[in-house]
Amino acid sequence: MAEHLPMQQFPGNARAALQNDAQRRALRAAADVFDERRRTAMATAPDWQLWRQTAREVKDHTLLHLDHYLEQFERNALQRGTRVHWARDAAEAGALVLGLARQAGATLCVKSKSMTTEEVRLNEVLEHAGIEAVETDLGEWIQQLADEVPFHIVVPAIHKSRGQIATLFAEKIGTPRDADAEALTAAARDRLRAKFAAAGIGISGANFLIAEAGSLLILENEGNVRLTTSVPRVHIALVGIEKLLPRVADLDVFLRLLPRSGTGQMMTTYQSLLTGPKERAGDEGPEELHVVLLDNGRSRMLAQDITRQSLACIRCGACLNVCPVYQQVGGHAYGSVYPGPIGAVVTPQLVPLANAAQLPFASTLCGACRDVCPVAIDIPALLLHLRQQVREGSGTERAAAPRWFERFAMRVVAFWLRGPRRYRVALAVARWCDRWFGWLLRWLPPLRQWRKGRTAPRLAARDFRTLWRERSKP
Amino acid sequence: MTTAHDSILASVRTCLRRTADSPVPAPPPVPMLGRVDLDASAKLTQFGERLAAVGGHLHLGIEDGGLAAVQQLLARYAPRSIARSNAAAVTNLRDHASLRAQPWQPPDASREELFTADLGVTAAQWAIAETGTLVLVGDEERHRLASLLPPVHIALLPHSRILGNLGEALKTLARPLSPAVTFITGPSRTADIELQLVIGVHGPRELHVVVV
Amino acid sequence: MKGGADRTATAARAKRVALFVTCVVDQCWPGIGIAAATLLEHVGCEVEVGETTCCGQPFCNSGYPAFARPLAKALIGCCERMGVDALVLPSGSCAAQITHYPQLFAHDPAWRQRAEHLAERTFELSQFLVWRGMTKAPGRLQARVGWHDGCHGLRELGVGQEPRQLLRTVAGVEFVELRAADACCGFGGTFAVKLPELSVAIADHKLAQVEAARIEVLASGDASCLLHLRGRLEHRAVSVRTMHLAEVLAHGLYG
Repeated sequence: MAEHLPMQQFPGNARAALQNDAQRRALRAAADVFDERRRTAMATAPDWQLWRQTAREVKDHTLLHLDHYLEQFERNALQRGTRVHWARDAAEAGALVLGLARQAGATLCVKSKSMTTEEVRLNEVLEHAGIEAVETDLGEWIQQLADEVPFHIVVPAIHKSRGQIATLFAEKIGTPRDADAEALTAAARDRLRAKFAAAGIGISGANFLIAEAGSLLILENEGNVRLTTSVPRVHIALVGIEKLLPRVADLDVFLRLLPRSGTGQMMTTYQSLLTGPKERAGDEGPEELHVVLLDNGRSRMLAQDITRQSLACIRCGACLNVCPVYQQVGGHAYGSVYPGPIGAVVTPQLVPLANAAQLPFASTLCGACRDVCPVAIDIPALLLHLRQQVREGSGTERAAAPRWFERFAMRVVAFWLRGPRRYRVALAVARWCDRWFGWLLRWLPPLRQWRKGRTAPRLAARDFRTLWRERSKP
Repeated sequence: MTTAHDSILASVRTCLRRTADSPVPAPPPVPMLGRVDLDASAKLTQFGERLAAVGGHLHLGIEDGGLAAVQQLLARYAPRSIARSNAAAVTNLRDHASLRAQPWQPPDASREELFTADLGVTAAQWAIAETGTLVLVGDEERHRLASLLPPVHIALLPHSRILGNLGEALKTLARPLSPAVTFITGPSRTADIELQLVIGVHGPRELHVVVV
Repeated sequence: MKGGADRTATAARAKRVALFVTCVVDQCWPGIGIAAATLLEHVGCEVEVGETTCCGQPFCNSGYPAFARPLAKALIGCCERMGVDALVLPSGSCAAQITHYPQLFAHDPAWRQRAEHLAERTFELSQFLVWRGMTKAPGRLQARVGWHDGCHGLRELGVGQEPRQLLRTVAGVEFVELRAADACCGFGGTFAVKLPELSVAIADHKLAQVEAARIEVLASGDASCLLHLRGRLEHRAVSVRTMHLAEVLAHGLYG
């Protein structure tokens, strides 16, 4: 079962990722393609800012009244024959789905891409119980064959070259070593076809839940979602509670934002708007439709404005694509289901903050993510908020991962900066130390870290104040 | 022992400082986001352009219910087994003298049969000009798998059913919603390998829309 | 906080301005401060230098806003005592930090109000100069010059057009628009020393664009970005000069 790198070790993970030349090349090439796609998409969206604003307003309203919309969704879904289940956490979700799978007597299930199922480690739960769980999204299937976790939330195998994938397929399914992308895709199609036909259960996520109709909306390009949700007798959707929208009509703005942000398309190839299982015996579609509503830490995020906005995320991946950190190290270094900028703010809220304390610091705070986010999440503000929670704590919460020496050092520096006279004394001392002990200081933090690949800045012989005084003399 | 349902709702309410009786204002109004001023002819033109842009093919068959177009397509693909929906437009074609001998499956074919089809012929309930999208409503026609499993999909689209934009389409959908409403914009595709576009993955690799 | 009508008007009217050079400039690159003062005088301002030290950004950045608050109070108090019309900084990130001071005092209405008063009249140098009416920069510099957008200046204050506009007017300057000019340089505050290899890797991507454009001078509005990029350029022995915007705009005018 694929394991994440330890999320506590982001600095070490990042260093290792920087040594991986093949991965860096792939990320560089991907960044250029994503950039090109963004331009294309934006050219078809003159009203982009209006769309963003509209979408954010709908999300804010929905989240502020989430209890109402959850209940409305449940009522309307039940009315159409959907079975609605609730899971407080990952363990409960896994147990629920496993129970449903056992009830259905399934030994094989097909899965379409769902980050939520990654979050609860569903494949592991199923495999442990002797139920084969096959990913059907091409990128997810590649990662499954490679026994790796996804590298990106939209393009899971972006870090692998065609050659690497061809080698993987040759080893696992016997395709020729020099197969091109078309041949590899065709091989995947053939292999997975049989799984679709034989599976007793299809498991998906959902991009949106519609409260007024009790419906799910799922976007895709490959067709595996349509197959997963049409062919097997039972369809189970695991969906975070934040995916709710009030009305069918609200889909308009989100279906304009998500394809463009996610893949640079005006529209993804397929959208499935699903409302209940089949109604008559002879109809097509699943006999049973189950929706498992997952909390797993989301409800807590509702409590404050600054954290609640993370629940507006529509999982487009645009923030990953423009992030200077992600572009260098990729998804695995974050050690969490959700990587990149959104991962750096969501993961520390879904898991105990102390376990994810490195993630809010995995950013230069450049703000490129905020610029591209289709629902205008202020990720940098959230990162700063989380950094404070980690080091200082706030109000009633203690610091999640305090660093006592660092805090002491900060206190000392802040003290010497607080008054102009102290400041000048401190700098005079610093200059003296630089003069006599510079040879030692350069080997101590922070100069030691600065000097990894850069020359250190020097203290000017005469500071600005001195120059200004001279200049001001008549 | 609280149920997960009660527990989650309680957590949501506590965090939002709401109760079960708290009021819910109306959601923000839905703005009209797409163009509304195209006439039927302009919509057809735009639909054709957008369909072509995503790799689909448009054929006109308004005079003959799509007969000539479908004849040509079947001659080109020479399918060994044709899946079909139960739409009247499809049945009419199938019943025509020139097409009767083709290897049609029955409209209620089994799943096993559908998996072996080389080509599927269905109608479409609506289309969206702005994006070149077909809208298939599952409870109006039995076309969920015939439009998905075979590598080639031919969709007969009534020319009067082309709507301008997505907002309009969502509004037009009959309520209560069909168990499955499927929006199709071109053939299936992926860019999961080095972000290189490959057409034809799990869904059809060719999409032909015949306007009738 | 971009250029609302109020802020451009405040800048246009400002006569006495406080120049806060930032701690980095003060101690490592004081010439930037002199250049900035020269430019402000050139647009007819009376420049005062107060007893300011640090805007507090490193503390907020590291998760210790409690340590930034006293510094913010000191700065606010200093500007109030000076009674100036505007506070100008040769740094997008420090100017942005000061415009965020009201958030530091979210739970202290009295200080929040004083912070808002200062935030409304705090400006990054190039925006201030343009809004004050500078159409031609007084300096002269014979060089191919490229521009790096500092992230906070660009995204929080909307500084983008102003530096480019002014650089183009410097006699002898051949302005070259860099590819990915708005990509982060990798400094990121304490990020630079907490994740140094990553910081340098991001710099290398930026410098690849610099080398591809064959510029002689890389200019930017933040000394911190420049020290980071300069440090990398020197380490790699690449001979591209790094200069602050103020130094280019006032080149040749000050000792």
